[in-house]
Amino acid sequence: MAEIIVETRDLEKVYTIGERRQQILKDINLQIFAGEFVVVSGSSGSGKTTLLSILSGIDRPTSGSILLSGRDITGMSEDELAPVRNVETGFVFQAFHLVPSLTALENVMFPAELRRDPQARVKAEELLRRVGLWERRSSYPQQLSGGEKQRTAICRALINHPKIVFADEPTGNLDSENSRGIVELLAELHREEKTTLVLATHSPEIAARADRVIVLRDGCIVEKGEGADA
Amino acid sequence: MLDWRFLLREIWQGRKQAMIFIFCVALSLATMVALNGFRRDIDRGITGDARALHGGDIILHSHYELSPGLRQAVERVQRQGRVAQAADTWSFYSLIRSVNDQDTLFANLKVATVGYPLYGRVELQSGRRLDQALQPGDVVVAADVLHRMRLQIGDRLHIGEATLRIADVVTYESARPVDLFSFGPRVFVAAADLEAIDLIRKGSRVSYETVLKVSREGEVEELAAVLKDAAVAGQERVETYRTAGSRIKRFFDNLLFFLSLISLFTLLLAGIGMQSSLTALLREKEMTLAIVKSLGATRGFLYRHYLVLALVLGMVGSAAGSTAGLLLEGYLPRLFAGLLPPGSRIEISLLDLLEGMGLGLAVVLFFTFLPLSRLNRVKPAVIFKREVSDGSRRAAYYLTRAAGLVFLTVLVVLQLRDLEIGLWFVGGSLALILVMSLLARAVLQFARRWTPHPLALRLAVRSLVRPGNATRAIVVTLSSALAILLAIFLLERNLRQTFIDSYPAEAPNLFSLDIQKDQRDGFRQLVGEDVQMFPVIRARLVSINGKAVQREKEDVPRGDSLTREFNLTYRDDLLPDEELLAGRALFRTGENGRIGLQVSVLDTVAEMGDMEIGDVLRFSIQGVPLEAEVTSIRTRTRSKLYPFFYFVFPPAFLEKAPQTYFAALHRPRDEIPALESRIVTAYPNVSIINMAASAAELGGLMQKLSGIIRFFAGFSLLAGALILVSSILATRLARVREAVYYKVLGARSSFVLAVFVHENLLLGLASAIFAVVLAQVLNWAVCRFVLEIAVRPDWLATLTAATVTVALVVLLGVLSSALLLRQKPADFLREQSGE
Repeated sequence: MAEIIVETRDLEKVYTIGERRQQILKDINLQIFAGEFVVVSGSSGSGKTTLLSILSGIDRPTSGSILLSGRDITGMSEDELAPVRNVETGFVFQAFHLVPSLTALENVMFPAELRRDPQARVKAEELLRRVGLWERRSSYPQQLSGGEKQRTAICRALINHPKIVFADEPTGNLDSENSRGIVELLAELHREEKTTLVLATHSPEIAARADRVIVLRDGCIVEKGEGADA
Repeated sequence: MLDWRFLLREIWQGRKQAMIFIFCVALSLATMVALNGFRRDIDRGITGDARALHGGDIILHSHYELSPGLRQAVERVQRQGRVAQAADTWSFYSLIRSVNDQDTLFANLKVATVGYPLYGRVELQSGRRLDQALQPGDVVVAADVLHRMRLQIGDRLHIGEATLRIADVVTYESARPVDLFSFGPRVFVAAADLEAIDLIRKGSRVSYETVLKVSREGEVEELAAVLKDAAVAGQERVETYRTAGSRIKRFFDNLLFFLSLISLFTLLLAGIGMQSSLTALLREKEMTLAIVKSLGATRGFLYRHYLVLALVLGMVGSAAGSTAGLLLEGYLPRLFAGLLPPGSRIEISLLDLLEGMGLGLAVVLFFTFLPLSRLNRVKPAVIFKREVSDGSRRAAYYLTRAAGLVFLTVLVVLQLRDLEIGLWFVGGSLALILVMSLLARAVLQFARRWTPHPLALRLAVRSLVRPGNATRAIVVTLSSALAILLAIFLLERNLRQTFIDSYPAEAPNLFSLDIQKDQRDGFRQLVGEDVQMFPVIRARLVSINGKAVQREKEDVPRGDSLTREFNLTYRDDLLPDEELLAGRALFRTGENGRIGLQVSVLDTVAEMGDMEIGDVLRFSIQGVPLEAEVTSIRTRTRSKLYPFFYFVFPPAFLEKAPQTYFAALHRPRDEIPALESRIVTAYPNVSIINMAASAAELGGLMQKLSGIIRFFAGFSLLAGALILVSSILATRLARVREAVYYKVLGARSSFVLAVFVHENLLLGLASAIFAVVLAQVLNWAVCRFVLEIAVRPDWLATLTAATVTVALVVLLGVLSSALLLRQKPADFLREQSGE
């Protein structure tokens, strides 16, 4: 049986805005296994982004617990979570979130440099070559197209060889051609690197390529089905 | 029409930058309002009543007894009833002794006839009038005399050849409201005792003054003209209370003028702060502006509202600045303690407040014109997050800048009341800011290419060049302000080092003046053969190459004058601290070895009179003309240990002239009082200056003045600090974003903090280095070319100032950024995606 990378128990997330309490996630119990390609699907506002940010250690649940590689990360402080985000997980955002003052190469190198990896530059250059951005390595984010930004962000998420990569609507800000390219790239990296991939999308085409699809509605898991082979 | 709700909402939403803007306006005004008010206070309380300051309507002044012609003219107008009252005074320095000869004191003697002063007052401890207390055989002394000589009222004193009784104590003298320039406390002697004290000999340094009170106010100028005609030109000065200069007035005028320069400099830097904070505020509003424009708001609507916004903030800032200025004005008497008469009053007037408000609004208008021009460049397409900026600057932009510069110059000239210096100030300040700006730009360009290895440092470098960062404005203001502060500090240290601290152990420390020709040998025997004696002949310069030295032309408000009386001397050799700048020898030898009528001049006076070798100078030695050709120009090395003479003649021509001697000698400090006592007992007319004691007094005064100047210059640093905070606020979003990205990618808080520390460290270092370089250049230039003293860079003080600056910038920067560290990544990312 494959190793469990992520496991949640009775996960709940509530936001309080002024007097108003809004439950975003409730009773989330799931397991994600090593090497899986899982799509989290659901309509806008169903809680996909919140779920991914909690699973990746960027956000914390209101109640319940998350185990990452068997370790409970629920009560960890920001600084305790730092190495988890740096090494164990990678995140690809819909809005790219590249550091604007760093070049494409520096953005990719950054997580590796944080862990003082002497091979940071070599690894970053190799990744950029692989995604066809070698020529654009010295460009700043504002000089890159949407597709280029997302490819850079994917390289950044992969540089420390995380056990699991989360991608939140990675094609949401891209045109259809670039979207196809990004999905191909993620799928290819998943195949070749054997990285666990959790991808939030409401695109049926992308969901169709996943090993498993988790459907969220109003913060609850309504379906945990298998996807079709790509 | 104004939409007030829109306006108030804009102010509230941009409140942090608005606060910085208000602070900058307040800062720009505070010192200016305080100084303007304080100047009025000084005028009102000390220097304003010129009659009280001079003691009469018309003042006749000379270093000799009044000439018979002038004396007769005075008697004539007195007989005509045009002069209601007259009084004579003789002022000079002398050592006074206790009866047992154990205590001596260098005192400022004023011998006065009955009736003095004709205006103003001399307040005595007993409450009597001066002429009631100052009877023949009595003296009235300053409290310091009693204190320093351990005496009391009723005790006796040796003054010159006489022994006089202390009758009363002076508590206030309107002609001498502050005791800054005299190296000894006041002693009033009755004119009836002038002969008995026998201190005035030929060539003695005495200031003779006759003050007149005219019968009819309207006749002051006319009578002064009549007396001027009778006076010996170049020797006797006839002035009215309106035209006569006062050292006290000059001192305060100069000090307040200098402080005005500093406060204008603060205003300029605070103005940059205003521009910076308003630009940041408008940048934050860019999206709102684009949306409002896309909904149909006209350019006029936005201009109108944002101009009113700037004016509202400006008014709040002006009110705050004027109030702060008035509070500061109330504190100034404490800051100036020792320089103002005790019990000086500060009067805070509505006029000060109104003037401050008016000035504030003018300043706001000037410094907000350029940021408001941004409104023009915001396009509705910004909504779609496309970079749309009208990069080309139109003629109107440059026209606005030029108009602003003219406005600023007018403002400065009005404040300084001096066109030439005003122009120099504006030019100098702009040049300083331009140089700093270019240096900052060069550093930023380097930073764009610099990729240091340590990650935190690299990120900090990248942050410095992030769009919207006011790095250049911060560096320019901080470094300019610090450079001025440091330069003032260094100059004070250099002056102190040259004239006080590093006074060499073997250098002369006791100077004796007014030694008569027949006392010379006896004096030498009394003090020892090692004494250096310099003959002194008092004379006026009448003309240069036949062109008369004009009093009106030479009488400049700040600086030396060729019309004053000079001390000539004669000798054959250069002094050890002199060297020749022009000419092969001090004097030219004629064909048969004879020396003709020649004079060697010091470079400083040569510069004043544009003198060159071969020029013919005509002097008047107590009415006797003397013409000599300039044969050499001397300069002084920077040791400055010897008395200097502007004009040196060959001995042959002046040996017979009426002269006194100036003596310089060195004695251990503890032996000086006894020697002083011996000298003054044997030669009561000889004045003595104890350099060690005088240097200490001078040092105290310099320290006080430097402290005052530093206090005012410190405000300019605040402007730099405000711009730093403004910049951090303006780039808050970018900083939060970066901090969140670093954290999301696995950075700990300590790493994010390290990036902020590095960023501010670089900012502080750049500012400090530029400031140090500029301050050292200024220090060198002023010491070398203006003060003409040896330059000491004082690296320890410089390093300390630089370190303190860097530490403060880091502290302020990190404190302002501290809140950003607590930002939760998830919250920020959610907010961003919700946009």
